[in-house]
Amino acid sequence: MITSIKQALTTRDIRRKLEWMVVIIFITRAISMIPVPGVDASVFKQWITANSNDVLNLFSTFTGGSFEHFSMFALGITPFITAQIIIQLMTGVITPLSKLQKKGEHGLKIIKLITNICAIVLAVIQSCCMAIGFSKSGLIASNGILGILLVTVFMTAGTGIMMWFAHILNKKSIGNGVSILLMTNIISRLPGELAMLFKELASGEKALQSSISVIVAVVILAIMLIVIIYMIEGYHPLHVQYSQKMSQSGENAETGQIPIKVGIAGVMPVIFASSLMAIPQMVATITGKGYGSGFSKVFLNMMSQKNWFNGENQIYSLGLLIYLGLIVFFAFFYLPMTFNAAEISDHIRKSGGFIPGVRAGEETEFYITKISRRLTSIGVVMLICVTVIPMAICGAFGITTTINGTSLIIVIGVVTETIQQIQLEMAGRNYCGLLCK
Amino acid sequence: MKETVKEYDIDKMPMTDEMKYIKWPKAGKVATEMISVILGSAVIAMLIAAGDEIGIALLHILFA
Repeated sequence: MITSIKQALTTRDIRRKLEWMVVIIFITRAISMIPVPGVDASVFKQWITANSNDVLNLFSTFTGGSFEHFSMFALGITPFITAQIIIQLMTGVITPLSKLQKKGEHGLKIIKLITNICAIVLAVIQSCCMAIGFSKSGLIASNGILGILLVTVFMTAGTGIMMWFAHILNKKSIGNGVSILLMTNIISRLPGELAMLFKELASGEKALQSSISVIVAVVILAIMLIVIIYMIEGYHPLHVQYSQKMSQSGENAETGQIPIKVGIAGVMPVIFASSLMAIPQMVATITGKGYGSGFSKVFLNMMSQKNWFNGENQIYSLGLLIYLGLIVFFAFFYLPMTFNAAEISDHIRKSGGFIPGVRAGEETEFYITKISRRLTSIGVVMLICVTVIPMAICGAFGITTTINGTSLIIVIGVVTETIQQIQLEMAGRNYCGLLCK
Repeated sequence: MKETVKEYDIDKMPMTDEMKYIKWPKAGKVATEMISVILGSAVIAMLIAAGDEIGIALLHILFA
């Protein structure tokens, strides 16, 4: 591995791409620390600490503390990700969009433009709502329309700059720009969160008990890492035989593999489920009415993750069942959007291939769908293990931490993808084919 | 000659051993990936910390 790193750093093109990545991460972080004019970051931080809930924690994780500092990057790259998801979902429903997708490069360019516009519109709406809400709470110094306008413009411009950075990373660096920016935001909070977690565990009265707690936490984190790596790297090799293409000897038909990943839906089911469950809390926080009393209090407490493992009010654990149900639902709901069995079946047919023992056309499509559904079932179980079990352990022992499986899946996924791309680039450079023979 | 069109039902399709097969990564690969992730994250975290420090310094200069 060290040789690979050395080789990557000594190759001029790869080094230049990595330099771009370093520069953009550096600029993003520096700007993240500077608050929007008219906002006192320390007052805002105090408000966040006092009103901490699932939705604010999730948002803070994805914006890497920019939200806590109320910088111009407070919205982060999240409006663009939301826009991408909306357009992806719409493509399956709205015919003109699906037609555009099939039009090739030109169609994809138009879809990209629509996504960008959608992201900016979302950023304007989100920042305007935030500015109005925070202005009413007295968190923004100037309460007038001008203050709201200033905050909206700065935050929307911040999202625009983030989108531009993602574009530069896509063009001039290695890996997916949006994923890298999201990963950077998540990693920015990891060292602090890890330090806090271990400090909390080590603060026990007995030294032995504290040491055991720390060791157990390290083991759990290691197990989480291993399960996520298995989930990301595990795949079903779909064997395809090509009748048209002949091998070099010209005797046998060529065989190939199409890998279908175990974690096809990735981390999206968890994000969808968490976001949906956070909506009632978000409304309660923004309207400033709190949890109220009676049914609304029980319902809102049920929606809050920190109450699910509360032994005193077991009724709140029902929220966990709703959460698990939503994860499973979204995993299968999102599957056809990310994995199009009909398209793969069509692609196999067009390239003159077939799956041995399976008829071309509808039977192949069903065969692939069946495999993808089975893989999703396994992936969902792994996803639940990674997200819910650590949550249960923390809840049972009263540990407060925002380190969760969702963040780790994103970080591991992006780091492994980037490393694989570096290796691919290097392999491409080292390959000399027949000339070296 | 009339072509017979066969209709398929996904639920009735049998699950064969071939369909059940999953290729999991080997222990060595998992270990390498783990080290890569930890090292990669550590490097990025250091870079982020440096960026944050510069940002805070800028903040002090701008709003001093």
